[in-house]
Formats: sequence, structure tokens, C-alpha cells
Amino acid sequence: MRREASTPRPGWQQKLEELGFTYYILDGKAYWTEQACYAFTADEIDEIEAATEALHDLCLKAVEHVVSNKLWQRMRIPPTWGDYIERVWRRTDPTIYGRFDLAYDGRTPPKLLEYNADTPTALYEAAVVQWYWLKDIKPDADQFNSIHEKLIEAWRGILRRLAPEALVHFARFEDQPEDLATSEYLRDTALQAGLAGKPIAVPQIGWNGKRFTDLDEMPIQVMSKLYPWEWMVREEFGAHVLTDSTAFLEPAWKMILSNKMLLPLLWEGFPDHANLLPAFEQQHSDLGNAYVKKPIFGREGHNISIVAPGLFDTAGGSYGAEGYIWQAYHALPVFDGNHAVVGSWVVEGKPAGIGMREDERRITHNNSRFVPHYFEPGGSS
Amino acid sequence: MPSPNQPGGPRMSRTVKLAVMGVAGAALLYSCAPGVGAGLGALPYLWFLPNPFYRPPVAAPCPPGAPNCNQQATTSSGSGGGGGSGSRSGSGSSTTDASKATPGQSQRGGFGSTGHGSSGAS
Repeated sequence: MRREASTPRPGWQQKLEELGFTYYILDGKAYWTEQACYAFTADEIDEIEAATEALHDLCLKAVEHVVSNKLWQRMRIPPTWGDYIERVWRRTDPTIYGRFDLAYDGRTPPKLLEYNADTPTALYEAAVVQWYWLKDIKPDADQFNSIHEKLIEAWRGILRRLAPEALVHFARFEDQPEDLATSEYLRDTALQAGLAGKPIAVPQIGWNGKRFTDLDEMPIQVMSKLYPWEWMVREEFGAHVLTDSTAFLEPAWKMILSNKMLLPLLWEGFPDHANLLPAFEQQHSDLGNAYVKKPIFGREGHNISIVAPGLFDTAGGSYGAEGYIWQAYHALPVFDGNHAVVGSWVVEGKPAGIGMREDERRITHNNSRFVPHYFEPGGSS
Repeated sequence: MPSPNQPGGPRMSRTVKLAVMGVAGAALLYSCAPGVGAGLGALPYLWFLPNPFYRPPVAAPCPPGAPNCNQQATTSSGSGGGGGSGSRSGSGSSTTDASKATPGQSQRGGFGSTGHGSSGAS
């Protein structure tokens, strides 16, 4: 694994805009860069893929553990939601996607940092934008990225479970370009699978006393939402979800996986697993003097603190009211001063591809740069 | 060409075509898309489409001599989760109280208030 300098394509901004990828600059800083790329060997890609599959399998076991033992209090999930979560889990309500954030340097096994299982973004960049970059820059190379095809296939699987008239609503915040692109891209792949899809802004979701509705007072039968479950359960309409009159993507059992309490739970269940880091509900002697403190319900790096000898880094925010977990500090690999994180996508429960993010800081946040990647099939990069 | 993720085959998508995103879909995105499905709500049968994954409560088997046996019920059946795809649950094959709803004026704004200064994406 290495970071290579790369010459940007002539007119690269226009190429991105033609794809509808307009947010390549966020808050005045480059969010997409093609002045560099990450190169992997085929063996390294195999290792990331195997780790992703193994981790997702562990996560499903963790969900079963939480549901069977009703660990709602520990997960900071209102117990009144327990029966509903168990119901959607037992009847196998479908999942579309999720993204593991992994620390990986090509020399030691990938380590799970967290699972963005409920509202992952950076999807369009990973599935489409870097694919077009590869076709332009390295047409003979390969890329770990069949996200697009797998998304369409996942929607086809859902279509088979729906009535022919079914319509999927796509709820998101439309003033957030990254969210809008993620949701619209999901809708794009759903349309290509043969489903009908209709956008709606999260605050526009209605409740008519018996059903969730859209602005046309049309009942929402299936809702693909880019809005966190842990927020939904605490908001005014949250209780209406329990009527089970609308199906949600991602389903409510993802509340267990997008929850940082998953990390100590996994470490308890599978101690010393090669792809896990020690993690605990409180400071623990096994952490030594190097740890990362993460809010149980946190997003985009907010309120994370890194403590290690000679090192302290923290990111502000307003998360942490529900408490924190402590995870062993595992340094990210640094390339040309950039801390690199592998975002490994899971589609319908299977590894589907990766997107690389990098940042000068150790804490990855929502504006951390997206950098394309490639690998040489069958050999070293 | 071998399919992605097959041994020895390419790992990347064979083709990436877009229906909504980008130039190809711009016309749809900015003209038709907001109206997709609009008007369908007037079709009465749509109001009787329940959650497609909903299963009605299943009556529990009655142990011999159990009192009030016909009032016992369990929640939906199934073993193990994991989000696999299954067979279609037909429209109208199950119903909930909610599926009997009729159009009316909805209350809005019950989701989206938490914020934390972000949308909650990760």
C-alpha cells in the first residue's frame, strides 16, 4: 500500500461536475483530490475484503446477542423500542449498505475503528467518481469497487419483496450536498433496478394519525432515510415508527451497529480477534496509556479524543450526552503527512469496495479528503 | 468478462451508468424527479399497501387445557436476522390498522429537529 503522486486530468473539475459531483470543495478546502492516489497489491485488497466479510459476520452475531439478551439499556436504546427492533431483525428486514472504517497499513491486519452502518456517506465518490477517474487515468488497472452493481442488485432483491406498485421514498436533508448526492445516488440505483423512487426532505415527512405521508399526502410504504435512528427514536414522530406501518432502510436493527457501544461488545465476544481493537465501556488497564475516547452516539469524528504518550488530539462537537467508550489507540498510517483511513463498503452484507480518506489530522471528519485508489490485478502495485 | 469478485476476475464494476445523477440524469433530477409518484396518492388502493415486510401476529399453539388459549398470540415469526432477501409479501396479504388509513392533512416536522449542527450522516 502506498500513496502516489498523480497528475490531475485536464478539466477535472468539469468532469466531476458532469457526474453531478459538485461538492469537490467543502468549506473552502479540497474534498476530492486527484493529485494523488492510493495503490494496493491484489493481496492487500484480498486482505481488506476478507476482513470486511469477517467483521460484518461478527456484527450480525453482535446484533443477535443484543436482541436475544435485550441489552437495550447498555446500548442506550429506549427499551420501548426493543420489541420493534427484535421484530424487524427476526423477519429479516433488508439492509442495503454500510461502511467500515478500517486502519490498515498493508503490513498488519485491518483494524476496525467503527461501523457507519446507518447513515454512511462518501458513497457516490467511492462507487462512481473514482471509477471514472480510473477509466481515464489507469485504464489497465483494477479497482476494488463493484459498489454500483451490488447496489442495483440489492435493490432488485428488495423489489422482489414488494408489490409491483410499491414506491420507495428517499428522505434526506436537501441543503447538505453530500447527503443529497448520497440519497440521490441510492435513488438512481433503485430506479435502475426497476423501483420507483420519490425524494422527500426529512422535515417534510408527515404523519396523518395512522401513516407516514409525503407532501402529496401519499402513504410512505418504504423509506430510505439518511437520518440517524438514534435521533429518530427521540423525536416527536419516533413513536409512530413502532406502528410498523412503514419499512425503513436501513432497518432499525442497524441502530445496534452504528452505535459505538458495539466496539466493546465485539471485543467481549471475540477477544483478540485480528481485526478488532481492545475496547471497553470505561477506562481499562488493557488500554495502557494510549486510547481513543468516542461518544456512544457520535458522527463525523465529533467529540473524539486521542490520548497517547506525547499526543493529545480532540475534536469539538455536541455529542456525548449518552456516554463514551474507550478503544485502544492504533495509529493510522501516514503518507506524505496524511493520515489514511480505508472506508470499506458492505452492500447487502457483502464486501463491495473501498474509498480512501485522508487528513493531516489523526481524527477523520466529514471534510477529510477523498482520494481515488487502484491496484494491479494479480501482482504487486 | 468474469463478474466482479470472482476469483481472477476484475473487482471493479463493468459499467457505471447513471439514471438520475450527472448530466445524463440532470433533466430528470431538475424537472421530473420531484414529481415522481405525485398523483399516485390519489389512487385508493395505494392506501391499503402495508409495510411490505410486516407479518401479522401468529397465533401460538394451544397447550391442552390452557385457559384463554385463543387470545394468546406471538409476534411475527422467523429465526435469525441478517437482512437477506426473501420472497415477495404480496400487497394486501397482510394488513395493519395503519393500512386502513385514509388520506388527510398530515402533521409535519416531527423528524429533523435534532441536528447537532449536522445532518447525521457519517
